[in-house]
Amino acid sequence: MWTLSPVLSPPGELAPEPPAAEQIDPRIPGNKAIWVGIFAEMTEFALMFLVYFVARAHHPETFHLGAGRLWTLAGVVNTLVMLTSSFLVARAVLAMRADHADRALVWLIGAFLTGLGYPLMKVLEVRWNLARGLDGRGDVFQLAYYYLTFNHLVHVSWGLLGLAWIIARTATGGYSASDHRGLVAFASYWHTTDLIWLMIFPLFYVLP
Amino acid sequence: MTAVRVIDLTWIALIGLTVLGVALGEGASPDLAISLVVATITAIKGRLLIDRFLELGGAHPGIRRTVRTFGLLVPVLIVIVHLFGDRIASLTTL
Repeated sequence: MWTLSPVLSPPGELAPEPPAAEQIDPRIPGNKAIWVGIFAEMTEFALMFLVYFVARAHHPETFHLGAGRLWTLAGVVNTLVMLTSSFLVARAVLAMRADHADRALVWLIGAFLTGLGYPLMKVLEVRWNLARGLDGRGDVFQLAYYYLTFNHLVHVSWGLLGLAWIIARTATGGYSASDHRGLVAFASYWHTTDLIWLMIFPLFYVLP
Repeated sequence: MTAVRVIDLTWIALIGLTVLGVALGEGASPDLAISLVVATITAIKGRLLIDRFLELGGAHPGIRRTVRTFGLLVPVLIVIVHLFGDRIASLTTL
C-alpha cells in the first residue's frame, strides 16, 4: 500500500523512491571493509617495526649476531612461497577479468596449495630453532623475531582461510567478469600480507 | 605488453631481487653500503608488488599513498637507524 506516508504521498501518487543503494567507488579495490582491515593490519605492523628499530638501535651487536643464528634458507623459502602464492592470486584476478572463471579457479587452488607451504615451513623452522636453543626466552633479537614472525603467521593463516572461501565461491559460480569484487578484496589482503613479509624478511634474515 | 606478461615479469623480478639481496647480505658486515643496498632492494620489491600485484595505480589516492608510504617505512628506517642508531638509543632511554 502506498498510503503509509500520506503527507509525502498523497493518494493516487507513488511514494518517493527509496535512496539509491550506496554507490560503488571504482577507485577502491574490492570493497571498503577489506581496506579497513588492511589499514588496521598495516598500523599493527608499523608499530611493531618501530619497536624493532628502537630495539636494534639499543642492541646493534645482538641483532648483528642474531641474524647469523637463524635458518636463512627457511626465510628465503617462505619469501618465495609468499611471492608465488601472491602471483597466482594476481593471475586468478586477471583470468576472472577475462571471463575465464574455470582458469581462475585453477590459479586460486594453486595459490592455496603454495600458501600452505608457509605454515609448513614455519613448523620446520621452529623445530630447527628449538634444537639450537632459539626458544624466544633469550635475547631481544629472539623476542622481536618470534613476536613479528608469529604475528605474520596469524595473518597468513587468516588469509588461507579466506582463500579457501574464495575458492568455494569461485567453484560455485559466485564471481563473474562483471562482478568479482570479493575476489579482488581477498587479493588486496593477500598481497598486503605478502608486502608485510617482504618488509620482515630483510630485518631478520638479510640485514647484518 | 599484456597484463599477464606484466604480472609474470614482476614475479620473476621479485624472485630475482630476493635471491640477490640474500646473496649480498650473506656474511656481510654491518656497514652503510650494505644497509643502503638492502634498503633499496626492499623498497623496489615493495613498490613492484604495490603497483603490479595490488594494482593501486588507479586506486583512490588515500589508499595508494598510504600503502606506498608503508612500503617505504622499513627501507627508510633501516638507513636512519644505521646512521643515527646511537642518537635514537639515547632519545629512547628511560
